[in-house]
Amino acid sequence: MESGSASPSSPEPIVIDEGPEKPPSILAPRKGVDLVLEANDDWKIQEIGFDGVEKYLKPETFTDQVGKLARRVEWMKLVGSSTPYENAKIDQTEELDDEGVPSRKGEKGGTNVELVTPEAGPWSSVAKYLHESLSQLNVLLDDLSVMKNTDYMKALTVLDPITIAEPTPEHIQTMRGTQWIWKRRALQEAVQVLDIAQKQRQQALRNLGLSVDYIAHLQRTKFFEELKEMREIWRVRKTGDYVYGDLSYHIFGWKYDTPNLFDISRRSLSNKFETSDLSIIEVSVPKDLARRSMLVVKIVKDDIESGDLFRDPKSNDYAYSYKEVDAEKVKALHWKDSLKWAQNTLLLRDTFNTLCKDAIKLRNRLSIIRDNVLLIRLFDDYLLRFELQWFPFEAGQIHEEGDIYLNRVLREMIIGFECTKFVRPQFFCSMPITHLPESLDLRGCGGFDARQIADRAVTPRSILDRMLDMAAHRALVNMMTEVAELMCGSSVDPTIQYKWLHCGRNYSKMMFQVVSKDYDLYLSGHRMHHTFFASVSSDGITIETKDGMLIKCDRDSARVLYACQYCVCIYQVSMFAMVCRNQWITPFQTLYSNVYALDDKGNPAPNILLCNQAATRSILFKFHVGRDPEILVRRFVVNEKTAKPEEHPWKKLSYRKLYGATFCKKVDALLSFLRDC
Amino acid sequence: MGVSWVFEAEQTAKSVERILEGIGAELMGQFQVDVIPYNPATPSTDYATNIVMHHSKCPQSTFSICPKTDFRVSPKAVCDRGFDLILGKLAGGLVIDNAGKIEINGNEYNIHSDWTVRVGTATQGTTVKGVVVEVEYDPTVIIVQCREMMAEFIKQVFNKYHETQPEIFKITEKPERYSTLDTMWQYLQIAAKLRKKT
Repeated sequence: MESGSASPSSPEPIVIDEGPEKPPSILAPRKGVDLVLEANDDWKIQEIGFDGVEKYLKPETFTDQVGKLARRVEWMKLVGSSTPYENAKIDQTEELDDEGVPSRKGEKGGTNVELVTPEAGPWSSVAKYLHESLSQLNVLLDDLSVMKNTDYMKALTVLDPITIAEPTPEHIQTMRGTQWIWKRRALQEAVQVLDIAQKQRQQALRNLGLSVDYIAHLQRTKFFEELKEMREIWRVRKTGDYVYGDLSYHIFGWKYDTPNLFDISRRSLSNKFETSDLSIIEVSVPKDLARRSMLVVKIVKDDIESGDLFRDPKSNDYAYSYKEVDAEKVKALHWKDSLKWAQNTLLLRDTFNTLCKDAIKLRNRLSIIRDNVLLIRLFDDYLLRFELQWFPFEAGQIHEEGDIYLNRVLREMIIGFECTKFVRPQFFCSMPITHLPESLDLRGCGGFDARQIADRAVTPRSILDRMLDMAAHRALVNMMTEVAELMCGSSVDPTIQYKWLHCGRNYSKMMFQVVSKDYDLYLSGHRMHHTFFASVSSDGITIETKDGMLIKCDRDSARVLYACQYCVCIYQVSMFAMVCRNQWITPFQTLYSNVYALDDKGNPAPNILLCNQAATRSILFKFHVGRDPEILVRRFVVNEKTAKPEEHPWKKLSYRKLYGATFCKKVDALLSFLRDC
Repeated sequence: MGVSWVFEAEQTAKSVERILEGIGAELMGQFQVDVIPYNPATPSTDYATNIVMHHSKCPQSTFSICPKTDFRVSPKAVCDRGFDLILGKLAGGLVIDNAGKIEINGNEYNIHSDWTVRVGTATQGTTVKGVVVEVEYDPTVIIVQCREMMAEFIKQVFNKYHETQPEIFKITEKPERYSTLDTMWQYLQIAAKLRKKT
């Protein structure tokens, strides 16, 4: 309201409750101007009521102002919708801006606090229920306190006894009926329980007091124990519900190949607790392996009479048909036997296939394969025969045919080949500390050229190659033994003994010892010619004497015999020379001796020429191989001029007719006879 | 394994081959020699360049020589081909210098089964640097036994290169063995000379 001059047109403003002012004086005559003092700020009139009361618009107080401004602030933008109400963690040092609203400084400062609602843990529902129940309890307590304080409230129980009606007679009737029903039901339940007890007792009587569950448990335990036993030898695996094992024998390589698997299942024994011989584990064997087999090796001679080197195609001994296999019978066998036989069959079948493949690769040797027989040329007229035999899948002894030694050697090689790693892996080896002045001069591997690398490369020999060598050696050893037996058996004088010095797979050595009975004393000197050796390799036999003479006999037994007899002749020469060295009884002088001498046909015939002390008689002994020695005697020709050789011809003596049982005795007798004449 | 004499020929490979075929040489096949320098990553006085070589005669070997002033003090090594792979991992210290790699490719001839002569063209990248001939006498590994004979052989066949004998021939007095590393040293010297040529 503006103060100022009073305007006569407008009614005089009436001022209430405001400021000190002079009360209006209408009576006093005034001179001057009427002044009215008013406040600058007058409250505006909101309305004037019909009773003359004026309502004023109150101006805004400070609180109102703050409220108005607060309503304008967008709190959600500042605070965020996800924060909880209690912002106790808000930084106290946040500065306030002009509006009096704390401004957010979210990312400022190191004490940045992330306001995250706590996750409801696993116990949140429990907490909720607890909270609810506690709040209900609170409510109850409140009610109780309210009821206690007010007089007109009384707590009543839930089960209001007032509402329970007294049982009427009709009720009692029906109750009896229901009682009977209830009793009957109770009796039936009792009957059931007794029935179960009766059954259990009967079963217990049968099973010696053990329940079905317990028996099942025992069987399960037995199954797992046997499975553990099986796992010690066989590879067993479980996939899903199937338990199966692997029959393959390779150490390095694929395992669990489908054709070589066997299934394991539990034999369903009856529930009776009996000890049975059947194992609880049943195994099924692949049908093509459900037979027993044996790989037989033999050395056979190929001549007119050997028409049956191959199996008779009509014979059914070793025939096999897949349809004949009865899976149930296979399952009935004990797994220890059936798995062993099946794996053996697999091994031998694979080996036979490998042998056949190797035989085809060997170009220098002819081989024939038919059915399950492999024939390969060994040497001369001999063949090496491999046969894969099949037998029914039953328990029992199998008669082993062929050469047992070769069978064993083949088996050992098969297993050896499986266990050997033919490729040598690369590895780092430490070099020795070098004291060379050029300490960095690592001459190392030397830089081999291609030819040297090829020379040093190891070429693995196949099983067939090795078997051929071993079989050839075996055949030669057998032959050598026969020759030795023949010679030693037939020779009474001198006595020949033989023994094997070394017996190997590819090389053997035999020693012969020649002994003359009663003349052992003469052995005290040189023993050189009393022993000779025979070395047997895969290719042939060589007779060796101690002084280094080698007689090659290849594979000819007649030659071996001849060579041995020749060595015996040499022995006889040396024995002769030894006997005549006796100074007192038979002193003779050895004039000449030649073990390499030949007779007129060119055959070796060692000889020795002696003469007696008186130089009157000379003796010539010619030892022919395999025959009696030739003895020639004549008068000693001292001087060719005085005595013509024609006048003193050589007289032949018969060895057989000489006095004495053995050669040495005969020699002794002859020399003593000719000593003085 | 034998004693080798490597020299640079001042004629084309074809003409050398014609000479050899004239004396009855039989072509045996191809051969390849390469000489690859490996330089230190940062040039320094402590580490010198290392030269790695391969020869098709020794297909499984790698030869490494760090050439210093004298043959005897240069660190040398023979290793299997895995050495190249190991050097690849050491690229932090030694970096392969493909620009400086010299390859010698050519034919190998055999004369009367004792002598092997290899004639090859040396190339660095795409540029042909020269012709290198290696004469190997197979029966012996003792240098003092055969160096005169080898000089005579070269004089007879080529009539030119017999005067400058390789270093190893000249410095060896005692009957010491010759090894393939000595051949590679000769190749190294020749490759260094060829690199300097344009």
